[in-house]
Amino acid sequence: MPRTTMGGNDPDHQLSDEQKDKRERELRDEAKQLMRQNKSKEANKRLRRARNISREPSKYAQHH
Amino acid sequence: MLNIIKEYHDLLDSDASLENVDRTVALIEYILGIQWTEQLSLQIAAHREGLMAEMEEVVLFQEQLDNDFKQYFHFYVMKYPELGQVKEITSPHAHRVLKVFLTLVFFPQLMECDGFPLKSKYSLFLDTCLVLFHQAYFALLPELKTDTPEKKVLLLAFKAFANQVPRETDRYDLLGLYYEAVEDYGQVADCHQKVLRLTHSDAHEFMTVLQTLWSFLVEQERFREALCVLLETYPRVLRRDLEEFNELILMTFELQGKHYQALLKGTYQSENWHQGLEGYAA
Repeated sequence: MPRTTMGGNDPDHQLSDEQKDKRERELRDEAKQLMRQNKSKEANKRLRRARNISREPSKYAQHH
Repeated sequence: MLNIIKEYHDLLDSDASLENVDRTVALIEYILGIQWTEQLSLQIAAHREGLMAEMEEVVLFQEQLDNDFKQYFHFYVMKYPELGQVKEITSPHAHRVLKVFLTLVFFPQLMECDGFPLKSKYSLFLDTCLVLFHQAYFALLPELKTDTPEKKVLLLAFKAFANQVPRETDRYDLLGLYYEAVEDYGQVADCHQKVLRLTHSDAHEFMTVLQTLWSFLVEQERFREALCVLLETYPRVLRRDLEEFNELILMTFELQGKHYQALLKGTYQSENWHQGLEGYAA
């Protein structure tokens, strides 16, 4: 069955689960290495990017 | 024609830069089929013929779009006088800040207008706005001097956008960044805690959310709290994540050890250290 795009939940721009998990893990590992080098600002950037990659896509909020 | 999905994926996993801020604004304009003129008024984009049939409806929406935008802009200038000040500044950063403000604050409200025809693009649109938030936060914000109207307007944009994203985890995540920018670290910790509480341990991002809070506490030299967060979260950690979780526990001790060694050698100064034990208390 084709996935619905009703309500604006268009899945087409999502990465696959495997891609998400792999890239997210890489970025978390990079962040840990940066923490060890006392570069917490750079580590934070990696973690933020990882979170953006892995989060569920937004859905249209229906207001009643 | 721009490959929207490819461009989105490229930007999603790119280092923050001013060029990428501009690319992300351009992508959002492209998704919506509208664009800013040099004078920052809105117009229907020239590429509309090549896009989907809904674009014709956007053309019909033009009049309402212009009126809505003028009303909103007038309202924002009344509410935030800094916005009017930034509009008078002709530097490239001021122009960029205005575009980011209008994109993050005005476009989401535009999407919610009853007559707006591109609601099926809402998900991609909002996710691209999140990318823009991060690009602007890490690349544009550090370029702006303290207490300038540009910086105030950009911070307003971050806070206003964060408060209107529908999902709570996204909202607190973005608010955490905003409070970090204004150096309200109590609120930052609170936002990170809320995101962790609201994130299911099955979710892809669970370990990233946990590591983000842990990383913030370690950066703040709050090692005891960092360890407590890990121990409190332990029952929620899935078996597949245990190895990574254990690494965070060991790293807490490792980084705490390095921190104290640097203090003892005098190669690092810390406010906490000068306050004695109380400085490190949770």
